[in-house]
Amino acid sequence: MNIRLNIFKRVLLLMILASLFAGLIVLTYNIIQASTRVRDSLIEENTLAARLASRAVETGSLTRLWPLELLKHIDESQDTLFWWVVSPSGKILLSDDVSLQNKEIDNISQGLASEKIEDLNYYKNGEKIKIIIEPIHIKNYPEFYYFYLGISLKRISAVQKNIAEGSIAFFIPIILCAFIISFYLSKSFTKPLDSLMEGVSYVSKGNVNHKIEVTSNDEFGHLASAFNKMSQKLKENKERDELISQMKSDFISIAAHQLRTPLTGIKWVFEALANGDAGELNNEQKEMLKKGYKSNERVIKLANDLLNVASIEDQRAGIKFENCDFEQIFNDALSSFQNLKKNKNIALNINKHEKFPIIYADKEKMELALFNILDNALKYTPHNGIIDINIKLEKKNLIVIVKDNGIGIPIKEQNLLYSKFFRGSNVVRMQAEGTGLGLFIVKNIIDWHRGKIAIKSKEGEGTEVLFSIPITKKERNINLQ
Amino acid sequence: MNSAIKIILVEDDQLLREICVKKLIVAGFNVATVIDGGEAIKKIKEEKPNLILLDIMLPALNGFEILKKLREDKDPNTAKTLVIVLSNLGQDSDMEKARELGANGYLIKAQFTTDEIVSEVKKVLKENGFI
Repeated sequence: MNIRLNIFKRVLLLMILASLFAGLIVLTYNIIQASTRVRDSLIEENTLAARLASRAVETGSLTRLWPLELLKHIDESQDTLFWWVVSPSGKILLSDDVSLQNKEIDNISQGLASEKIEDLNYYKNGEKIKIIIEPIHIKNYPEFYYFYLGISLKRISAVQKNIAEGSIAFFIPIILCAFIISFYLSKSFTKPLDSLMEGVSYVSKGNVNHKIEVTSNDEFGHLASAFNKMSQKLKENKERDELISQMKSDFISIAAHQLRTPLTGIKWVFEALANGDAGELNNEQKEMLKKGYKSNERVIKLANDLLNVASIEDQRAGIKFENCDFEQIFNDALSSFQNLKKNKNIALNINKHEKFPIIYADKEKMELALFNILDNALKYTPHNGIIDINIKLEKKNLIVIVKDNGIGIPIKEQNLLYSKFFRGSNVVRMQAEGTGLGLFIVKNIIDWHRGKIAIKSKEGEGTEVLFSIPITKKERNINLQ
Repeated sequence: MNSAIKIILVEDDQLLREICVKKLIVAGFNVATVIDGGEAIKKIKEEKPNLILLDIMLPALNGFEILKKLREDKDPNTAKTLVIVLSNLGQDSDMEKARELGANGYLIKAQFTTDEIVSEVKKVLKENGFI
C-alpha cells in the first residue's frame, strides 16, 4: 500500500522541486539582469560626475577657483568612496581626505589621454571597488592632471540582496502553499485508492460483503461504484453457487436415502427368502431369486456410483487432502477386491519393490480410484485370467500399473474411456455388469491429485492402466502450476 | 447366551425394521424397536440396551442428534451405550460426523446383508466384552 501512496507523493514532490528549480533560475536571471543594469547606471552616473569634476577643475584652473561646491556634491554622493585630483607626477593635489594631500600614488596612468575605469581593491578595507580616472587637460600645460573617483559597488549588492529577499519572501509562501495543496491532493487521490485497495483485498480473500463508500462524483467515485456493483454481482453469484451446492448436496443425501432404502428392502427380502426364512425353496426358485438378487445389487452399485459421481462433481465438498499411508489405502482397496475375486478364478500378482511412501492424498477417494481400476480388471477378465499389479516410485511420483489379460477395449472407442456412462461395445455384448462410471470417477480423482493416467489396451489381449501421482504436497503444487 | 443382550433398533422403514428385528431375534438377541426419533431417547433410557442400531434419517429427531444427546447426557446407563449407525447415508462426511459423535460402527444398509449386520453387531459386542 505504501508503494502506491508514494507514487503520488513522489510525483508531487517532483513537481515542487521542479517549480523550486524553475524559481531559482528565474531569480538568478533577474539578479544578473538587475545587477548589470545597476552597474551600468552606477558607472554611467559616476563617470558623468567625474567628467563634470574634470571639466570644472579645468575651468577652475583658468579662473583660479576650485570647484569646491561640485566636489562637495560628489563627496556627498552615496557611491563615492574617495576622490583625488592628481598631478602628472602622481602627487595628490586635492582629496576628500586631507591627510592624503601631497602623497604620491604608485600606479599612475602616465600620459592617459582618455578616461579609464579600473577594478581596484579599496586601500582602506580591501573591498572591491571601481575607480574612474578622468584626465584633466589644463590649458597650455602639456601633461595631464587626473581626477580619480573611487566608487563603491554596494549599490549593486544592495539591489541583489533586495531582489533575493523579495523573491524569497514571494517564493516561500508559494512553496508552502504548493506543499499543503499537494499534500491534500495526494491524500484525496490516495484515500479513495486506499479504500479501493482494501476492498479489492477483501474480495480477493473471498469476503464479497465488503462495500466501498462512494464519496465523490469523479473518476474515483465511478470506480468505487463500479467496484461495488462488481462485488454485489460476485456476492449474488457466490450465494447462488452456495445455494446450488447445498441443493446438490441435499439431493445427493435424499436420493441416496430414497433410492437405497427400497433397494435395501428388496435385498434383505431376497436374502431372507434365499435363506429359507419363509420356508424352503426349490432349486429353480433359488436360481431365480439369485438372479433377482444380482440384478438388485447392480442397481445398488449404480446408486453408489451415481453418488460418487455427484460428490466428485461437487469438488468443494468432495476433496480432503492429508498425509496418508499408501500401504493402508492399497490394503483396504485390495481387501474389498479380494472379496469380489472369491467367485472367480483369477491369478493375482502383486509386485512392489519399494516400501510404500506417505503420500499427500484424499485417502477415501484414492482408495475408490484404486478399487475401481482393480474392479474393472476383474470384471473384464474371464475365468483363469491373470491380473498383475505393479507399484513403484519414480522420482517424486508414485506409479501404479494394473494389467490384465481380459477382453480389452476396442481401439476406436478408447478416446471415450473417461466419459460418463461409457461402456465398450464388446463389454455390452458380453452383458458384463457395469455402470460406465468407474473410469470417469478414476480420471477425476487422479486429476484432483494432479496425477496422470494412461490406458493401453488391445481388444482380446488385455488392458494396462497406469497412473502416477505426486507424492508430496510440494510436488503436487508444482504440477498445479 | 445372547438373550441377555438387549438391542434397540431405531428404524422408520417398516419392511427393513421387520426383517432386521426378525434376524436379530433369530440370532438370540433381546430386541426392542423405535420408529420415531423423538421417542428414541425416552425408550433408550427406559430399556437401557447394550447396543443401539441407529438410523440417521428419522422423523422428529435425526440419528446424529440422538447420538449427540446420548453422549452428552451424563446418565451413566446410556452415555456409553454401544451405537452402530445403520443408515443409507454413506458420504464420507456423514461417516466422519458419526465417528466424531462417538459411534462404535457405521454400516450402509444397502451394502450389507442382514447376516453381515448380525455378525458386525456380534463383533462390536465382542470387542466391548459383552459376549
